[in-house]
Formats: sequence, structure tokens, C-alpha cells
Amino acid sequence: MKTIQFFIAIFLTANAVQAQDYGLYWKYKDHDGAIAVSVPRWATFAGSAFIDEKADRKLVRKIRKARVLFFEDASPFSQRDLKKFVRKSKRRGLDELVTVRSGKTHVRVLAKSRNSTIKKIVVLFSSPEGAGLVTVKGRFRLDEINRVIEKSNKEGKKKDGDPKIPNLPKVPVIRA
Amino acid sequence: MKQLFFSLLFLFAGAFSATAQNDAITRFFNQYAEDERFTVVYIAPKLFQLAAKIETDDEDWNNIREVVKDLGGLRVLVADSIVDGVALYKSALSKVPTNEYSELLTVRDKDEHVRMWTKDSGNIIEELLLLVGKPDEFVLLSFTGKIDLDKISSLSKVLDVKGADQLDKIKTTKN
Repeated sequence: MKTIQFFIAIFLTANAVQAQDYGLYWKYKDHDGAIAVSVPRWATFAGSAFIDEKADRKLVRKIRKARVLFFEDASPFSQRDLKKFVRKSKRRGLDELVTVRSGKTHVRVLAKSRNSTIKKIVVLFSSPEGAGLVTVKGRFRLDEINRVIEKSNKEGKKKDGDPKIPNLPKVPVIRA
Repeated sequence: MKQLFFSLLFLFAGAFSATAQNDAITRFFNQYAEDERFTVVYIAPKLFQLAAKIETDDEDWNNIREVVKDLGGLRVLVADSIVDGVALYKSALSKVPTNEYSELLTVRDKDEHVRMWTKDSGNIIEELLLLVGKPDEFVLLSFTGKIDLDKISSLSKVLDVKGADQLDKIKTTKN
């Protein structure tokens, strides 16, 4: 009986872990040509020690887990996978924020938030240069994110005279 | 009974035609959604809601926040190196359900055509539609939500999208 309970527990835990990336990471992490990186909290915490700027360091320390899945060639994600991903992410409280398609480049940003805190950000992208998925879990306050963006904008202006902004809409938190 | 039947039929037909009209613009967006000559952007209401929660001391941002908090979404279709910009403009123009939208602004300057429409219910503007056509450029931009025409032009500063600068014309017109 204890063995059965043990296996049920293992099965449920495995399912819960897979649910975090709605299956895509786990399905494709061993795919041919895949670069899959999972960064645990202790690693981001240790890495943050090398960041000079206090605000940036503070933000990085709020990352609880980060996952990156990258393919150098074309995206192996099938339309079916993507539909499933969108369906599952909606069911689990992830909201679509921005979708951009420019030429052959597709970017989709989704986030899970509560009040003024973002708990999870998922970026799904594909372009001729590569495709992949980035998932970041943590507790990021919007004003903290805004502060870091503002600061990097100011630094960009100082360095280059004019900020180099891609020809895409800036997320409203960024100001020119 | 007969009266009830006709009332229901009328309501149903009204609702259906409203949906069909909205669909005309959506279909136009969808028609070019995968066309590589175009850049397609969709900003979901959630992003506007999140942005509206950001508090800073910046006065400019606080003004923009007032606009952003009531926005429901933004769809943009842009093409900037095409040869049939005016033809596309005319094609999109024919699809705008003019009985549902009221024209806000029309500009024709040499080869440049700009039109803006609003869709309102009572005193609230629910949608702002912007159409720009030049021989080599085409822009279709649709804002939804509760739109304040006095303030919407301030968004042209934060939106780095071709054609968004045309929003400044609202301010000019109003002055």
C-alpha cells in the first residue's frame, strides 16, 4: 500500500513540474539540437553577486526559477503543440500580454500576475535565426521592473545619444 | 406573440449585423496576419492594466497612465516597404462599416491618406480606428476600451509604431 502511495506521489509531482511550462520544455528539451537550461534559485542568487547595480541585483534575486529552451534552427514546435500550450496556459492563469509578428519573427509574451506583482513570465519566440521558450518564475513588483527599465533607458541615452529602440511597440512601461 | 417574435427577430438580426461589422475589420487583420510584408502587433488589455498599476513621480507617465488604464487592447497592422499601399488603403476603407463608426478625421496630403473613425456608445468612445495609406506604406491601428480623445494623442509618444504619430492629429483637430 505504501508503495502505491509513493508512486502516486511521484506521478503527481512529475505532473506538477511539467505543468509549469505547459509541456513544451519537457517535450522538446531532449530534441535534436536543443539547448535546454534550467536555472535554480541558488544559481541566480549566486550569479547576482556579480551584478554591480543594486536595483538589478535585487531584481535578479527575485528569480525563483528560470528555464531556457533554444533551437538554433527553425522551431520544432508544431501548431498542435502551440495550440495546446496556449490552451493550457490560459487555463492556468497565464495572460497574453503582447504578440508581435514581423517578417518571419514571431514573439509572444505571456505573464501570470496578481495585483502589482508578476509571478511568471513566458516568452515564446521563433525566427530564422532560432526559436525557443524562456520561462521565468519569481515575484517581481511592477515598480521594480519599471525602475530597472527606466535606468537602462537613461544609460542607453547617455551611451549612444539616442536610445536604440527596435521598430516594435515599446511596452507601455518604457518611456522614450 | 407576433410582436414578440418580430422583436426577437429584430434583436437577433441587429446583434448579428453588429458582429458581422466588427468581423470585417478582424477579418482584414487576419487576412494579413501571416503575410510577411506586414508587421502585426497585438497588445492585450492585461498589459495595459499592468502598466496602469505602475506608480512613479513622473508627471508625463501619470498622464499616460490615465489613458492606459481604460484601454482594452491595441491591434496594429503595418507595412512600410510595399508598392500597393494605396490599394490596400482603399481595400481596408471599403471594409470599414461606416454606419457603425463615425468619422473623426480625414487628411489627404499628396499621396498620403489618413482617416480616423470612432465607435461610441453614449458619451464613451469604445474604439478608435486609424487607417493610413501611402504608396509605400500602410497602417491599420485599432484601439479598444474607454478612450479619451483629449488624452489619446499622448500615447503617440510611447508607441513606437509607424502611424501612431498620426494620433497627434487628433490634438491638432481639437485645437
